[in-house]
Amino acid sequence: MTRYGMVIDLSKCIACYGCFAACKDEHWDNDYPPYTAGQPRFGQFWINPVKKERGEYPFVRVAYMPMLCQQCGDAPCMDAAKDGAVFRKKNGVVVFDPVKSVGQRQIMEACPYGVVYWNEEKNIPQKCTLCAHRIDEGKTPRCVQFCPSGCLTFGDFDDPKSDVAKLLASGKAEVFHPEWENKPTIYYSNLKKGTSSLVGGAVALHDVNECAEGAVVVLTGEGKRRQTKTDAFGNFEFDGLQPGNYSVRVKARGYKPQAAKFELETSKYLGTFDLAKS
Amino acid sequence: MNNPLGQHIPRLLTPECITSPPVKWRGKGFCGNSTEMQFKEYKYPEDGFSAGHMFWRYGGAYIGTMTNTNRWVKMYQHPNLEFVVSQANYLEGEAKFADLVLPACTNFERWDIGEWANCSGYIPHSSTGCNRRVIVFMKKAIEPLGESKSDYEIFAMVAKKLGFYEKFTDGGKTDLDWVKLMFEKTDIAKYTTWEQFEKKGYFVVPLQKPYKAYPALRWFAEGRPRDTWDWGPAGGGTMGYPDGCGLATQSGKVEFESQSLLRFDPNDKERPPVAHYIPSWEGHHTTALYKKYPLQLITPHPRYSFHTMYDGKESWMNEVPEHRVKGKDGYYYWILRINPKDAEKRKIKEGDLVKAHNDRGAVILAAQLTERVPPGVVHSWESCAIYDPIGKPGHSPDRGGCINLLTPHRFVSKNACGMAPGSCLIEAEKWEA
Repeated sequence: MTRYGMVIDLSKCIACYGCFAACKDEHWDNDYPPYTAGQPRFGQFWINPVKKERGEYPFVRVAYMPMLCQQCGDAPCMDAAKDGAVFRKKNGVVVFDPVKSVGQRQIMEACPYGVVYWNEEKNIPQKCTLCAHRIDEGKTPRCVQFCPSGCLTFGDFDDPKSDVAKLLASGKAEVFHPEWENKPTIYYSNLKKGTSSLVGGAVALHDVNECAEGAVVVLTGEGKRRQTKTDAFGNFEFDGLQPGNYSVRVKARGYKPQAAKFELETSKYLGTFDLAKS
Repeated sequence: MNNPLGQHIPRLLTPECITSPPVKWRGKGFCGNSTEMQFKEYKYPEDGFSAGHMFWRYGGAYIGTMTNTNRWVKMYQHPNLEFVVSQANYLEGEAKFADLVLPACTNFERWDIGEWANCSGYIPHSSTGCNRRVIVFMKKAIEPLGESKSDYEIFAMVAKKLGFYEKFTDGGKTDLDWVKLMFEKTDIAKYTTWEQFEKKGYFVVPLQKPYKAYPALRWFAEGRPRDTWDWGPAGGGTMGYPDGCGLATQSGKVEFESQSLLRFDPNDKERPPVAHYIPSWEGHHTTALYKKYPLQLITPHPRYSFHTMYDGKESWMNEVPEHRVKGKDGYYYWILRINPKDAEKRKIKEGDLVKAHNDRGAVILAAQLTERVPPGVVHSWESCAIYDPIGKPGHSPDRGGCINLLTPHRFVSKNACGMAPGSCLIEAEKWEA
């Protein structure tokens, strides 16, 4: 069997929007029957790097999460479609028939990821086709071909030798919203940069007015215990957290330890722990 | 540009030169030939030259890159400037101020040859971004659309009317003829044929054989004559260094105290011989102004466009959410980045239209709330390609995003034509369209 999809690494997206422009170049005003009608000039984002900003000044982390049709193995759009307007190719790609889908707004409304767009002029739902017309020619999708940072990896998940299958086997790639049970074939690595919270802070040594490098910081809460060390600037961070009640304890040899309790709603900067000599 | 003679105008001083001559300044653009060129005083009009009456512009709009831009807006409407011609691809920026707009075709509609990333031959080693020097043949993809013509053809047609067509075109050469001539007269012709170059479209300049590495400044460390292909004035001939040795400073050494500045004007407080911090003349130290305009505006080069290129062309770039934001009225607004704490004080929410303003002007922008700027600082990229006043030009807010309307035109020093748009205070408030 063949099952085409992508692994997208959030740590590699540099928000150049080259994928978006390449997609526009491929699809604007170009029909690729039977897979899709041309994309309108404005208003559709078949691939869209969505900004995810976390933290607060001066501790800010920004990642971009390219969003596109998730190529669900169990696709809500397919369930919503009438007359076979949404079908799956043998290679796994979900396609909207540009003729049969006319007027079927419920196809767009069924998508929980919000990656289906409505073409007012043609009265059809539209989305990323994973460049089905290019796959037929043995090529990769245009966005993948363009991506300069290696964020987008394309291939056949059923071929164990493919790059995507290897990335999936490494255990670092996961789907967005697994609890919806749509079985997407778009996977993300470093997804925590787009979906979880983080906590940061700094440690200083009061008597010498210096950054505390190598101070031990322990985070506990929500049934977890994690430990890290501060970097050369005295900074520390814990990523991949869910909202809840946490506490941190900061220790440096020869100094009195300090602790802080806090409730994590989104992401948080704890400020500087200015340690006094013990 | 690097000829010390003739009449010229520093671009940033164009409005002053046109509207209130005479004007004096020091230095001539990029002073690539010698340090002394920076100190020479020039004036407009220069002795023996007439003042300008007509402004003939070609190339893209650059009004968005000019500080205190309302100076330009007022210049374009000033009686001293009797006639303005603009050769433009797009009716953007200042093109609308022209009395006559000549439609120029795009790069896709004409022939050309050039060296990739070689900025007019001026910036040294700028080809390093491509690893090698690359000569590129720009192919005409389609014939010019509509009535548009290449800049060269426009100039040639004007020359014909003025009676020097033969001289200007060297006997009727087309743009492709010039490209071929350029090819033949350079060393590329020793390596490849025109037919091969035309087919391939580019030529990678080979390294010299045998290849020898020239580490930067090793010649200086080892006391030898310069062996790197550095640009700029050669050192030597001063302070006991033989010709070709020593750095291009006047002592021939690394200078912590600039000997040329020390001799020229040791009392220049803004450009002192020893570089050090000086309080800004427009910043949080300038108490009265800071009370009125408590936000410090930083305007670096844009990320998704290059100077005014790629912006304002009704292209997909408008939809990059970090570049422009579509307002409720369907207009694509330039972005002002503001800390959520500053936004809250002003009841500004994400995507709201805001009026950023100071005594120099006002710009309507879309607010983007971000922790990436600290409280007290706002960020908006400079050099959008649009100037679109909502009322009388020069006296009403611009909604195109021409953020340089707000920046000061004061120079970094009275002795140097260097812009200082980083020292800029503004206020921002919610704008109801």
